[in-house]
Amino acid sequence: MFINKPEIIEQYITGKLTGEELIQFQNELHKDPILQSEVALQKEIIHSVQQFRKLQLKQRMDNIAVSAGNSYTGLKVAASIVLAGLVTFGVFNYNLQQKVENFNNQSITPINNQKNEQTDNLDSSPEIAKSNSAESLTNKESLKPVTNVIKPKELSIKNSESTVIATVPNADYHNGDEHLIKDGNVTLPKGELAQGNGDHTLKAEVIVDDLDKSRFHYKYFSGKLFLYGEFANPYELLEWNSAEGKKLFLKYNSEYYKIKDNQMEPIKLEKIMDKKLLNELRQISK
Amino acid sequence: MRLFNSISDEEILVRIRQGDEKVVDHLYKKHYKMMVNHIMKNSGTEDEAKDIYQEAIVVVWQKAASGNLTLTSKISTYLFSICQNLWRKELERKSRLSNEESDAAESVDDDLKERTAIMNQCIMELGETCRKILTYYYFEDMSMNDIAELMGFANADTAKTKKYKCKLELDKIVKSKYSVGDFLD
Repeated sequence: MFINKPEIIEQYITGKLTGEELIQFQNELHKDPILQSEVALQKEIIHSVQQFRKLQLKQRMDNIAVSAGNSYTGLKVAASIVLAGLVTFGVFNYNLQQKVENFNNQSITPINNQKNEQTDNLDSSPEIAKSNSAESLTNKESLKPVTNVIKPKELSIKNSESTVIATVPNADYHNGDEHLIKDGNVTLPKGELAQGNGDHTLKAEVIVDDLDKSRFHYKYFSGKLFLYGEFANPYELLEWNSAEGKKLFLKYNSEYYKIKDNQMEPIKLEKIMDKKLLNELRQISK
Repeated sequence: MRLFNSISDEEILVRIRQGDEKVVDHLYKKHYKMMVNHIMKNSGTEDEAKDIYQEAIVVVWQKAASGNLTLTSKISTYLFSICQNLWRKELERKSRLSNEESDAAESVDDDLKERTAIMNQCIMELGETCRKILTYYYFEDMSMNDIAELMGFANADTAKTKKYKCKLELDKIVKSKYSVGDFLD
């Protein structure tokens, strides 16, 4: 009876349903699995809209230049990262040669399709450097390059604090038309990164828009990183898995930049200044 | 035009109810140092402090936008108390986390992130008008009258109809990516 009454379902979820109607709703909900599913779905949708709005407001604040005026902050950040335990990096090199003349979000779908078609042509057995410490985290099956221009090989680095896995695609982009979207003159995928068991690898697609070369911005959500600006030189993406969650960094022209997830509006790339964090990043990415 | 520096707390609340997001910029800048330094002095990093402070501003925004905020103190005092509460909760959460096995939590976290990303994508697929109506309704908890005024609709009934259609559209987009059963776990 209530399944066809979305407004009542919504009132129930938002706590606005009261009295006899609430009791009737609860009784039916208890017995009807279809209504249970619908309530669960609607809860998630409403919650997602709320979170989305919250994120919009927070992103607005992220774009405001402010400072607490203390230089030791960054060191604390770095220290907390170092203490976080297992650290895993995916390092990805891209050599950008193609120019983007236009860009829009709609262009993403054809890129994905294209990549899937290309997957079969790839070398699906990345070279794996011998390292006992890395065996538990990686295997050949877990790394599948997804474009025909990137041929990943895998390195493992052991240091006293943590095991580091670095996937280093030998990216050498072709100038061919295969990276251009038909009607948008868009380049593209600088590579989807190694797909693995999902625990230690990054599933990011990088799209560069160099229409405005004076920009140096990014946005990052749903596993897609959009870079705005010239980006004429090779860059690397570093993913750091820590107990505090995944952290993503961009290395470009020997500088490092933090990439925030769920950044849906373009935001300027800000250089990481903290020396300790920089040292960590340099050590891992060299 | 009056400078933000000179506006009163009451006027800030009024502007929030009018959906004037510049108030967010003003509030954020004005109290940033004090709030963030306070958290940093209590074992927080600047990133953590910033996040907590932003959450606190969002709370003020949300309550004021819905008309549910009656100030009994200055906004800065209110913000400060929210920051303190949020930071205390965060410290408790971190302490719990360090005592637990992190593997299971991490995998749940990954699932949640993936789902959040997909849901955000669904919301982004809506037109801007629909996105605004739904966020004003579900997050700011605004009345249909307020939404009609903000969006320039003829009246509350128009806002209600539009909200209904936008919600149907969002449901359709989400259901095209998930089956309903996916939400039962």
